[in-house]
Amino acid sequence: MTDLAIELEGVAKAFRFFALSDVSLTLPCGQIMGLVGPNGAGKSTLIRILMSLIHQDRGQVRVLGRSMPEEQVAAKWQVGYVSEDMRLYGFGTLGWHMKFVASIYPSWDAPYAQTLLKRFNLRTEQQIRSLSHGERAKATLLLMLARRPRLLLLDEPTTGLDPVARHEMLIELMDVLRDERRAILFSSHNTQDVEQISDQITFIDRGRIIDSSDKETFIEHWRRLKLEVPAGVTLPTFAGVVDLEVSGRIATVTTNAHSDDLVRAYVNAGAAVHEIQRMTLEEIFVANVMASRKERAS
Amino acid sequence: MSRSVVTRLILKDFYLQWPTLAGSLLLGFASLALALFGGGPITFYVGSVSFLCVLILLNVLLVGSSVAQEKKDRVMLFVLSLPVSTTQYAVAKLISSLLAFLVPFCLLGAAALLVIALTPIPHGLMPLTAAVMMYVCLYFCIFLAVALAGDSALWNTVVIIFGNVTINFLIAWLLSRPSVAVAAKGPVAIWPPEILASLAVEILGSLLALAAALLIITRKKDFL
Repeated sequence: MTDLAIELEGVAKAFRFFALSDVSLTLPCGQIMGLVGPNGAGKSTLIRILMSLIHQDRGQVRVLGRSMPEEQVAAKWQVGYVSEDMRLYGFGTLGWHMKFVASIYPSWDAPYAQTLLKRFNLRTEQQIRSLSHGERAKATLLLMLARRPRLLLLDEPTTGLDPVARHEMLIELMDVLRDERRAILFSSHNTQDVEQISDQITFIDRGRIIDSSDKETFIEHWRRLKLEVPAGVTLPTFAGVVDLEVSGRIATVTTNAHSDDLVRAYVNAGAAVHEIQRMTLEEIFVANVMASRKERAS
Repeated sequence: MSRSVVTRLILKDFYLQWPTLAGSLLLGFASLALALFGGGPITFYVGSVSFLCVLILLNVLLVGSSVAQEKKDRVMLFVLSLPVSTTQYAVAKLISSLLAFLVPFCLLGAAALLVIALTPIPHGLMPLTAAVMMYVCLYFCIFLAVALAGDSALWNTVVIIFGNVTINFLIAWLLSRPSVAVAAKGPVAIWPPEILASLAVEILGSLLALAAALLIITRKKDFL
């Protein structure tokens, strides 16, 4: 048995107007990875490749130790997949759906399903078409969680949900990880959600992984320095500086490798440090994407 | 284990389609009753056209709701989250749709032929009825194949329009053949070569359409 829930190595997939290029990524069991990217970055494509709904052109994909797409059926027994655009049968009741899924999975946990029904305030006799968007999303999550999958692949599951529904969903996801053998890959463009529940964060843009690390590393290494630059002084760019903007005598330096040495280097170059700002995950995400785009353009 | 999942998918589809099946059987038998026991040529004509319409409606509703709509509404994503491969999903859909179509199709077809056999209506109509019904089966198989193997709502619409229009040409062509026209009015069922040729083309076409769909699906790399 492997202790990696997901292994991607050199994965590529080309469409007419979009390509996923050279994606390599691992997710150990017991971890939550947030996959963050703007719209059209390739998050859904990546997750669909993991589910073998789309087959990669090149590269190796392993899910819970199974090679995909060849062993997709064996892998899917232990994978729970929910996508924002996934729908259930509108005229079926939630109870009918539960019965259907339970008839397939020997691992179906009926008491847990009942607990989730109560927590999500859903009723089995409700027809899916009569549910609100938030209730539908929770119903889909219930049908997936009660299978007790070892790996959860969630493609923007909180999109369009109100704050309460989002909170309920995130709490439930964190609860899943009490079992250390389970893992979650969670895609979103909402950095707040990702920051709240993820251990690891991967940024993706225009079909490429631009950065991947644990949450603390991102938060600790990224800083924005506000510097005052005397007239006639030109600031050098040091290693780890992803952006340097100068407006009059004020310079703003964005770095992904913050250290006292970097601050000292700018002081030695003639600048006065006004402020060292911690960055939110959203700011880190935007800075990362912009830096990556600039690098690719040059 | 996976075979049992495929069986469950087939049963699920069959369960979801039962209102369409029951409705088509009810309307089909009512149309037959109108055609055969209405007591005049007008009711016979209205009943026969209604009977044909019911078969076509069954075809369009079955494929439309079970295959095309499931793709369009992204319910397919839910089904594909279950432990089945995309090929198994397509095979399950093919079998369930075929069963859901063939059960009422065979029952209504048998009823139509039986009633012709048991009433004073010329028995020579049987071959023509069989050829026209088999055309609906071909139409169903082509629509099912296109909806299952393709991803285009436009192509689905093209098949529906083409299928609905072509049936008129088939009937007109068959009735323009002297051997068919004469045989249709005869007291016994005679199978002219044009009818046999139509049946052969329709059966072969149906099988080819389904085989082509399966071939395309097994080679498909992107299912969404």
